[in-house]
Amino acid sequence: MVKYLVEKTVFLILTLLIGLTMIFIISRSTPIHPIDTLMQQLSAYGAQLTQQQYNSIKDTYLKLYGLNQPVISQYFSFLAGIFSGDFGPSFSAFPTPVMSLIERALPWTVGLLLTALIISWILGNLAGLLAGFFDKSNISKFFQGLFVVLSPVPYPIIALLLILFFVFMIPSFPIMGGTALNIKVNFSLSSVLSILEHAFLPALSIVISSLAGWFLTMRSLVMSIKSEDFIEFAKLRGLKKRKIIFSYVMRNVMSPQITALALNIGFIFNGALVTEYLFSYPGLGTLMYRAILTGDMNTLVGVASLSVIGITLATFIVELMIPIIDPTIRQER
Amino acid sequence: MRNSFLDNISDLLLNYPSFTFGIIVLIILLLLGFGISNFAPSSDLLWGMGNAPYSIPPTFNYPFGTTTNGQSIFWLLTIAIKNSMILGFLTGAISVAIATIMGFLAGRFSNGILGDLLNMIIDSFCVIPGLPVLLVLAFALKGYITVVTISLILSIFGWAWPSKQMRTMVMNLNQKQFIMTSKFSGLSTWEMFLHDYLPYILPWLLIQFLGLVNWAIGMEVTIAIFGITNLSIPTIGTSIYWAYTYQTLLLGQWWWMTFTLILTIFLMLSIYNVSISISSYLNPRTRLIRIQKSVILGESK
Repeated sequence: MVKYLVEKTVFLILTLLIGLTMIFIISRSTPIHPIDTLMQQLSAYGAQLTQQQYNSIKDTYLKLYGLNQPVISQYFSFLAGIFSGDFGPSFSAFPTPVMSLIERALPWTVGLLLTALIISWILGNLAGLLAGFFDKSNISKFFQGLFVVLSPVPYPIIALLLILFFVFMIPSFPIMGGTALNIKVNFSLSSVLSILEHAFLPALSIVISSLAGWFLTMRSLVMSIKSEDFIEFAKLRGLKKRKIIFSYVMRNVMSPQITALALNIGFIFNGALVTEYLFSYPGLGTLMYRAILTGDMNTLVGVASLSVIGITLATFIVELMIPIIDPTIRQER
Repeated sequence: MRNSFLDNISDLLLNYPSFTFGIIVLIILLLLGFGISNFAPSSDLLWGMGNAPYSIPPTFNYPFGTTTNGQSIFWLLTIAIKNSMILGFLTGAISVAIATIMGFLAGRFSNGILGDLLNMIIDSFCVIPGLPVLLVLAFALKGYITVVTISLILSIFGWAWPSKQMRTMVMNLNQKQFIMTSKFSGLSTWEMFLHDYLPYILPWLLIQFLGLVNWAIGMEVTIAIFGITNLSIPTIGTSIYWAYTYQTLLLGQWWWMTFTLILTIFLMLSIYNVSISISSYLNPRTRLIRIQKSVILGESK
């Protein structure tokens, strides 16, 4: 157990280092210098500058973003900044700190992602469990066929199909924003209803896209375990089907599915980002899109770093749950 | 003596309807992308202004309708399929190459520090959410992006998942008698890889390659939707980007988005069906059932 914990902690730190270093190197090696872009924008607004003024403004910007220091010290201040929650000011929404932009967007993404993740994981595994156990039934075969068709289709395609059907062909859901325009976000009934109405389609598209994967792996896991002797024996003992399914089969296939959950959060997060933008949902995905549009490298780097940290931590937490489910890890002392 | 390749293909065609479906659709799409696209008029080679009527629904002359800028969607989509496929195949090839090296080393030396370290690196790349990092990267390289650079960029994350499975396979093979024999006969790691491991891994590499092709096409769509690729080159992603940017759905011009989506889904389904049929075909359990079936059939004759 202790060995497991140490292993996972080392892994957490290594993953964070790889991810954050990658982002840092990428952001510093771009041929497009962010300050030059800023200065160009300044002159595009019609600012008449002498060479001296130009240089002094540029110097101020360089100091402000810490870009005048050597790369190594930039790297350490980048890491230090991240762990104190400071990503520097945004380039385009100057002087708003990137962190406050993220704070505005984060609850939407976390809410959407978490809901979709939990719903799809539970539904997919439950359906897969039953479909695997009753694999001769027609319903099971129907769902198998359906999910084989759905599973290779990527997130944005499912999202666009939903938009095509439910926003334009049969207009039944809104597509803009997180709530209706005239509604304030609080815990009143109308606000919550509006939030749910706006979150329904984006959540549905993430659920549909990730459901298939859970269903298919769960079904094949169950089918391979179904022919084992202890299941056969449980049947011969005359145990109820429900007991066999939930206490005998499920207990044995849970642990690989939780490991899979830990490894898949990142993928589903990717899907959530693009889904948010397509539905104009005010989360991190839309924030990234705006940052790309305005050339705001600092915000992009901030969101990317935060995503890496968030997903890695979430994975870590899920992996800590595995010993609870899987006694073989608990007993390795 | 059986001709194994042709026999395998005919076996697949006979036993797996999903393989037949996949391969037929794939051949049609390949013909569209690499054959018919060569006849596209010069005004429809890149996204831009065309000389067809603006935004008309599908007609005989313009089977998939025209764009907001008067280009024939049919021709642009044939080129888009070609580019997306090239991109997918390139990414698949590069990623599979990296995955083979990393997975093999991690599996072969799984008892030492090198193996542990490689395994952790592989796991890290599986966990890190690729899209935000890819977006930063694509943004940083904006202006230098072609079909080839996108493949290189996507390969940074594409190799991780296949490596993980590769490692498990190699670790299973490590226990086999013939691997031990080779090792104690003094074969080098490279020779063992070539003669002992590769024959077992090869069919599986094909399946991984097909999976990666699908993944790459999907990722290209995702990155393009965020607007950071070369937006004038027709790919499936840029087609969706422009259809979305011109608000074609809002204007009731359903054909642009719809045909793009339908073609994309068919492309991905065909590749996926081919890959799952091959993987089920190679599974020893189903192979046994198939052999039993053919024996019974043979006896009844």
